[in-house]
Amino acid sequence: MLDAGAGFGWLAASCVGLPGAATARARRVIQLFTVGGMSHVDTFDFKPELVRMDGKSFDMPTFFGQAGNLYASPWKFEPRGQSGLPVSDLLPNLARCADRLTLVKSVMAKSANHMPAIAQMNTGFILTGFPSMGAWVTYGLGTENRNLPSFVVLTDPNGAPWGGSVHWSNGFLPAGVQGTPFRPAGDPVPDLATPAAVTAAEREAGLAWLNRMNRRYAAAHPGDSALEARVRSYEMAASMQLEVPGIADLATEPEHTRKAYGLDQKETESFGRSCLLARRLVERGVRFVQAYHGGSGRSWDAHGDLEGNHSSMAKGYDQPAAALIEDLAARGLLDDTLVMGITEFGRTPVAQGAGKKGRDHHPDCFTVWLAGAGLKPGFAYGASDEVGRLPGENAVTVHDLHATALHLLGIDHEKLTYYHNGIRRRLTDVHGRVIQGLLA
Amino acid sequence: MRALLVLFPSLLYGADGASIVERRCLSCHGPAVKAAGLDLTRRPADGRIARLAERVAKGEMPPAAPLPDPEKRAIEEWVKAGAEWPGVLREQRAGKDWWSLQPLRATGGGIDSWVRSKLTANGLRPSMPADRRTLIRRLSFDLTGLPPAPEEIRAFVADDSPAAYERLVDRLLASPHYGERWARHWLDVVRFAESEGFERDLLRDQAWQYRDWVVRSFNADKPYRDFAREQIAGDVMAGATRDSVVATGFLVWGPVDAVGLTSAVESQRDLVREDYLEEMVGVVAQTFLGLTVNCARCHDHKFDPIPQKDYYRFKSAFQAVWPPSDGEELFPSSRPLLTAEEDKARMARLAAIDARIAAAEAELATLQRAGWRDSFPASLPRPAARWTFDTDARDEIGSLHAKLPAGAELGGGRLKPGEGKDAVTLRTPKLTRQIREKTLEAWVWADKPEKAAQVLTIKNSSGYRGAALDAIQFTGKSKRWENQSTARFRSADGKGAEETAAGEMVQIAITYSGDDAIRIYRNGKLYSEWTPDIDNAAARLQTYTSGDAFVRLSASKGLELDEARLYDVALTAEQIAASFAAGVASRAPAASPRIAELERQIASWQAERKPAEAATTAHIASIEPAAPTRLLRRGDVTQKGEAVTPGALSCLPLSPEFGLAPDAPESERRRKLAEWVAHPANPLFARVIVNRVWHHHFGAGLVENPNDFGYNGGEPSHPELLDLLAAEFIRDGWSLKRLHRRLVLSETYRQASAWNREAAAKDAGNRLLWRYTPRRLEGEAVRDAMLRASGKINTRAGGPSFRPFEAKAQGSYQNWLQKDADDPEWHRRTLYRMNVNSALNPMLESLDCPVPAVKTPKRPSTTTALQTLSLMNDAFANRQARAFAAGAAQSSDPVREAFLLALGREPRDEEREDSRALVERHGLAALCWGLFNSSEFLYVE
Repeated sequence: MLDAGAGFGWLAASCVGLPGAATARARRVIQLFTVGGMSHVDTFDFKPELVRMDGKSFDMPTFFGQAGNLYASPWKFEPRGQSGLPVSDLLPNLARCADRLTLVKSVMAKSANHMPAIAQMNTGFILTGFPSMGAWVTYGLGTENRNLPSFVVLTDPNGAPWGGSVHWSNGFLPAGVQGTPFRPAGDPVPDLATPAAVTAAEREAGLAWLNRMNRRYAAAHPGDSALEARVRSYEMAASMQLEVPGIADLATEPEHTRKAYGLDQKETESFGRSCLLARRLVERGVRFVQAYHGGSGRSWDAHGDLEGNHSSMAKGYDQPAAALIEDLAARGLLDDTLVMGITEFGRTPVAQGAGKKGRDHHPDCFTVWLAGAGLKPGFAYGASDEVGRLPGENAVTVHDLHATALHLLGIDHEKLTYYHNGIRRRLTDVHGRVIQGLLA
Repeated sequence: MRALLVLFPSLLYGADGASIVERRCLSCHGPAVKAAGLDLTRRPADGRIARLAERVAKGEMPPAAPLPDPEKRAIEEWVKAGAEWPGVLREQRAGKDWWSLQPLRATGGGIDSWVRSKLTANGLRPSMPADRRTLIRRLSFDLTGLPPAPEEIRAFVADDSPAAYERLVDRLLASPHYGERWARHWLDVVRFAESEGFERDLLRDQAWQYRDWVVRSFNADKPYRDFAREQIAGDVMAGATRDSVVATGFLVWGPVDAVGLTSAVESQRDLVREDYLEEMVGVVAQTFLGLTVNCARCHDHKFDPIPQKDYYRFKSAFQAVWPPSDGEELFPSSRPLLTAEEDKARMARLAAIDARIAAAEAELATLQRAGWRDSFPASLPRPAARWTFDTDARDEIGSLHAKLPAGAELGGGRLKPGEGKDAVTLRTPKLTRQIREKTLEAWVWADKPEKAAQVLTIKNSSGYRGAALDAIQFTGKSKRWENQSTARFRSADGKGAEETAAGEMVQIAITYSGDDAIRIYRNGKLYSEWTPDIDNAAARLQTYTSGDAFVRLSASKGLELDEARLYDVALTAEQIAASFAAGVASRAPAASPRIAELERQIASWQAERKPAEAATTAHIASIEPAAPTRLLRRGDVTQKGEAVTPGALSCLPLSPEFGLAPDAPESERRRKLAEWVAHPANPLFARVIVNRVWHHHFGAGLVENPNDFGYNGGEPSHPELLDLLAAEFIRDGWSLKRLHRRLVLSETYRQASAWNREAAAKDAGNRLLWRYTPRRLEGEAVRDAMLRASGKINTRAGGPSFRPFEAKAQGSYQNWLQKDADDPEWHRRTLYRMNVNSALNPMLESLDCPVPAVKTPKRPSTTTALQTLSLMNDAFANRQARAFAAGAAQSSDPVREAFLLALGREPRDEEREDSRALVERHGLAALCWGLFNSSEFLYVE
């Protein structure tokens, strides 16, 4: 019966959705996606054994088939905050937020290959054609602000992640739940502005004529709710035209906020804008925001030069991400917002190639950080083995992560289903369990 | 919405104890299996119920997966309350007795009698017949995807003859636009995509041949049985033709993970390959059988009687089917499709052009190289291409001329990055012949280089095998020279000495020989050498194909490129040394009008060669020798089980046996499967297609889910009618046009769409067909109707698709970005828009056009604010509205003309006045924009 959602009525239903269930801890989600594969053993997963065995040979299969020797992290780790979670010097700002973070240090992905792995983190599947988590959540919970898209995607100026829009696709769900990419320059949403050749007076008169025309048609065809929905959709479009440009205008933010997000520095400006925009969007009722750091042009994919690559990527990422967490906390939004620091996979504890200083793709065990609603703060769940190659305890699949995020939103992942081509599809396929151990 | 979520699952599944037993227990404790002698369809003795509750609570039952806690609690409470058994429980899945698996029943009557009897039984009546104006608009969109022209409407409305409607039907079915319209429906089902998907999303330049084959097949009313068989096995059937081979593209439209298929980790490659095959099994079974056979890869099907073993027997037919490199040969020797004469004529055509090209290239080379032979030892063969960068980036031997991009500079005879740039990269046109054995040689001005760079690269551009790439690479960190390949297995770690050159010329050459060895030379001496793992096909010597591969030349800070050469032989150590000894011999090419003339001629002959060349390739199934198919435990590629014999499904009333051994040739397997699928005794084959056609004419199928005739798909609204239509379809020789005719000539189709409260109270969804269901046009039809009204439509049929997108390089990859332009080529019907995964059109997307890679047997119809914004402000829509206005302005009554063109009717009095006022103040374009945004324009009644 949920399939009825695919028909005319979806829009109307989506506008009234509010997470009202007693179990809901989060009302909204912000995902910060580090594209290319952020290394776990150089950021959040401290491995003393890796330091001890630096340069020793180690037998493991790798994506590029050029496994070199074990390679100790060039960054120093220290226990941070009250919680003492070790975070490396690579991320000094996130380290400052350690007491607000919940680390999952034993995540396993299915693919060692960027595009399918990014797809899995988004949709649960390594094949394309499945709805992204943001689409599922929008489908399930609807939106809190009908003047804005419910699921907004902010890509990096260095390009979309490999595969592009399939990562925020509605898949087989109704088109209205797909992610809407906000463009970094110009109108954030396509077709938002009235074409330059059309005057305001002309558009206004045209809309008035159209309104009369469509109302008459709807009145002459009672019983077809889509016709009424079309009449209303012009009002919604007009509201969106008013609200969206304002929300994307970051100049209205106070100087200290702009500075905190790093808008004043070249390296941090672009991701700073994404993070600040993400806060403004969720503040105004957008349900799901996804901000990508890195893309096909420049990413965390440190095959040859780990130090160079991760230093430069972290420089652009760390301060804005930390600023977002602190800003949300200061505004009381962190209490019911789930922030997810995700990546498609980690990186190998061994170097890529003999004598090299890069790391290869590593889906078998990596770290994801979470913050906010309903989580144990300053807490690490799961652990990798002594060198960070495989989960040592409490292995967590991507499905488990999805099930847990949905749970925090008050959704039973086994019940959020949509019938498509013979299967009642779920975000979590036929897998997934809620990770109780990290819930507050 | 919250309520929706919480309520529906429990409505669907039921949360009480009995429905949990129904869902969780009956597969073992039902009448079929009766595990432990227990059949729970009827209430057992109290003792057994208590035992049941106990074992469930302990998590011992069900044995493999204990119930979730809420269900355990529900069982406990239900048993405590007395365990009420509501009659006989029914297993929530289909058995072999499921309706769709039974042979077609002979039924009489017709469409209208079956629909009426159902209506009468439910106290409903059909609606009045629709008026003629409504009918012609409905029928035109349905059969051709285009609105009727005003004069066609006038003529039809004025024609009193009772045969007028039938004549209209026949005229529209004979229109070439009929095939275009129904091809789009078919392309949705078969997830036709003109790009590979995944991270590279490479274009499938030849995909359009399949699209044209579908259009032609529909227009020619090719019997559906042949239409189906060709798509499964058109390349191996008796009497295979060029067309039937092109049809096999059907199998390979799924997305291709090119990177995963060439992964260095075997289990990763196997996983990607297995997922690809599952997708293929899925599309074959869903398209032609309406069964989700793909669900049985890991376990027996949860809802339908398809054992896991059947999945593997079915998959066996496709074990050897691979995605093609773009431009798969249509005419390998094993597949003689052309008659000897045809092939001879084609070869002669090509040979004549090739001879002209060769002669011109020879003359060109002589002119350009006048003198260079002197400085080269006689022992050195002529390179296939050579760039000296003295005055430009032209190839001084052949036609691989590169252009200098912005930011590139020439100076001192070298290519270098311009001010403020770290590196520049040039790309040549495609190779005009194939290259296998080869030598890459570069003369580099090295000045303490630090950053990694691929100085000289040869690379295939398409196909999953397109991963092939070989390059001379300098690595930044180790400061060594090495061979770099995308397929990685050929990449050699630099074993040579660190590069210390500070402002000197260095010669680097890499040879790739037939024995798979790769040797790197620096300044005439062996630097490092490497023999890849020859057990791995991707690690061996690669072929760079004509018309596909290209060369990349790159210069960076500290590594300026003085000269680059590509040889089509692996030079010997002596030859490399000789070349080094001879030094750099840069000669400015003689510039002459004759050179320019020759180059122009070569380019035009190469263009002339294209059609004859294209006729030899298409995007079709690529076949490799087939290994036996082995069952995979839990669908896991690392858990191989027994080999299975090729076969079909055991749940249908025809034998699933092919009489083939597990190692039977792949052609036999696929041919037998095609025959089995399209067998007249296979009841699903006809039922499924008849239902698809019904779905598109009536807005919903008799079976609501066109790809699922299994348990989850539900039962048909009119089972006897479905069987009647299927049987007649077979009797009609599998003619789709006759089926259309039968459907649209019915009174049920011709009734009005007016809503009525009483009928809606009984059947809001109109499953019983008390009216014609009004529908919003698909995105393609909206766009085509705008082009029709603007008069800009370009009705040229067939051929390569227009490409409303541009490539945007992103590092080593490129994305496709949708773009807009006022170009007559782009005014072709939307069917001919190149449909790639990563360049979706916001307006079409908002109107529910599916992502190409997704199988879409029925499209949703949504109304969203983004859709409205697109219709309001999209540049294309606004441009068409202006052109529409310019055309209508020619008429003596522009308002009337605009209404006729957009809505197929005259304005009513109040509309006329309202519209005149709008036009007077803001011009006709404002009205035309309004009409494009009107619900009446977007809906068909």
